[in-house]
Amino acid sequence: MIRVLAFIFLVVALGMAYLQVNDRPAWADFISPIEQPINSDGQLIAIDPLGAGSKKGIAKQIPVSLQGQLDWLPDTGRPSVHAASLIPLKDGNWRAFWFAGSREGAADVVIQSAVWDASVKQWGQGTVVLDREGAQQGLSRYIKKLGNPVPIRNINGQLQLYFVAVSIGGWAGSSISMMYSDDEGLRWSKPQRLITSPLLNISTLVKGEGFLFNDGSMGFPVYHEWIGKYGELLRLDPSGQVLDKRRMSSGRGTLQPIIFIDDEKHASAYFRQARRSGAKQIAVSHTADAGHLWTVTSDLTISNPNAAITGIELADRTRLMVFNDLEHGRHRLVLAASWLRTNNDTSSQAAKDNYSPWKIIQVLEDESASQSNPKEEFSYPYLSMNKQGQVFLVYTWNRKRIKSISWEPNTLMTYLLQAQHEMAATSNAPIDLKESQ
Amino acid sequence: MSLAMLIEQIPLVELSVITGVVLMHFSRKFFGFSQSSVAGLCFIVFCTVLLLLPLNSLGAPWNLPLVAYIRGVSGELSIVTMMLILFTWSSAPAYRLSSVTPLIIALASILFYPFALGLTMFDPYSWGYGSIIFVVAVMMMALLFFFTKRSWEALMISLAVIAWSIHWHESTNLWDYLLDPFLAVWAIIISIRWIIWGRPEPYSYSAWDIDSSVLARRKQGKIFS
Repeated sequence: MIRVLAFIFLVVALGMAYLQVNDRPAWADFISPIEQPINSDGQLIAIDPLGAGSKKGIAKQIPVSLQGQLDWLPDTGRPSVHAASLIPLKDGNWRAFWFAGSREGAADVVIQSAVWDASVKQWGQGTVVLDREGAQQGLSRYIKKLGNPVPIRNINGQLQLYFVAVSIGGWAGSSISMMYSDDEGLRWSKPQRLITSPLLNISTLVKGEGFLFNDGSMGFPVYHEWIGKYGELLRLDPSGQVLDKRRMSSGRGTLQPIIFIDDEKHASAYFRQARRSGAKQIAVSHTADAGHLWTVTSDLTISNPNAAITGIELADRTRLMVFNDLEHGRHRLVLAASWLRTNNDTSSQAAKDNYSPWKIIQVLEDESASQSNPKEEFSYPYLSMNKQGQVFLVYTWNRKRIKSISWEPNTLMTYLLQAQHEMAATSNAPIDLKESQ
Repeated sequence: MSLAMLIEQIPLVELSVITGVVLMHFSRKFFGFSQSSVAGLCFIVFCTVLLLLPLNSLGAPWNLPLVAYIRGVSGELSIVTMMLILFTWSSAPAYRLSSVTPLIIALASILFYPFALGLTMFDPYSWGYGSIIFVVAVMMMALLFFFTKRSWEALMISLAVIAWSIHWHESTNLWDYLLDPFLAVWAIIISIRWIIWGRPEPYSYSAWDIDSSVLARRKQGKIFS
């Protein structure tokens, strides 16, 4: 009897396994960024970043400092806040997410959200997107605490929120869950859990910004934190189902990857370093096959005190990164830029080296002289950009508030061109310099 | 209650039944609970209902049914683990495993988990998301079991693959349908035991023997342990 059953199910399993493997989408390439040079007025221009035309443009109105609009995300009366992120909405506004509670990891932590109203240029009231009770009901299981929320827009324009939830232990017991909204974040679906680890599904966390592959699937840089500390790339279908997973680093020293895409095959991942010993610098991995395989390479020569970093690439392919450029502490936060080289070397080997060294272009916070103990903390930065080129930064301010800074495209581009020229003037081979490593 | 809501309850019902069976075995082993099938069935039904009850609406301080707390820790068990608990552990000699099966599971686990948890850049867990080579290897193993007259193992692997292909659990990874940490620990312990002390005979009763069926114990007059 068992033998007959085994035969029948074996045949069915063979057929269904074939269909399942056959239906699985092949690994897709990245969407290659297209350079859209912008002049000092924030307008698209022909490719001439160091040409006479743009120089003339800068000479007219060189700003001495980068003027951004500072603001605070709404205070909702919860004493501890952390891990903010945000995403541009279809109507030109922005929606931010962060977690807040009596302390990090407390049972009363909720995921909050607020909308930046572009017409009045300020944040609206904070709302609760998800609390522990809602997560428990939605996921049909005990949830101990909630953590980092990170939004993404899928290929169909649907807003999705990936967040960390813990059932057992500390953050090492985390798993990622997802919920979606069809009305730009006003109402959310029930959460669903992503299975990304074989040991009771611990411990995968999300922090960095996701991206789209050219087939419409999504890539999410995530990280594992239990025993090993390493980065992984999740590939998800538009509904948030895990299609694949690739290791970006291994061992016990890298967390919270962010990804910069060079072209359809090449990308760099930068990590928060979490080494017990060794250089306290931003760790790096590269891929030359659209994220299928990653190779750990030498660090950036940028200090990192085991703290989260964030980065984006602008329309003209200038890269921005915000980080604590310290070996210890998180009391200083800076904005740095790296520019695309002007020569047209597009050979695949050089893709990761096509950028100038990182240059700090603004110190956002600095309490190095502070006597307080412990010192102030400016951490968990998150950068995002909308289609108009407006850039938004949110970060944790002393765990008490979330601070936001927004830069208008014109102001930012003008300042970046100025900084680029300053660097060109002070360097022997400024724009051709390879990425400092 | 809509159909969708009922479907959402399936994983909880599944875990409740499995927990009920496990509790029944422990009750029999440690508390001398009746070996009778009817009593066992009643016990399992009672446990399942108790685990699924919305206790908060009955005045308990918990907000979730008890099984949701178990699920918070265990997640969803692999199909192979469930099959072993439901059948091999509790029933007839037809479900007797090959002596080599726990050893295969133990070796696979010892090789799998360190690499799957980040020892190097090599990640066997990622194969389970649909690597054709991995799926073919799993099906080859099922065929091998079948043609060596190990039908029960072939059936368990086939069911796991079918469950994966219809996305029965939350996971989209075939590994999660074949293996879980509970199965790995069991396989390692039983392998060590069998290697050192030898495998117990099919109809002899032993607390560790997964083949200790009700029928076998009755034949030997060992209804109560």
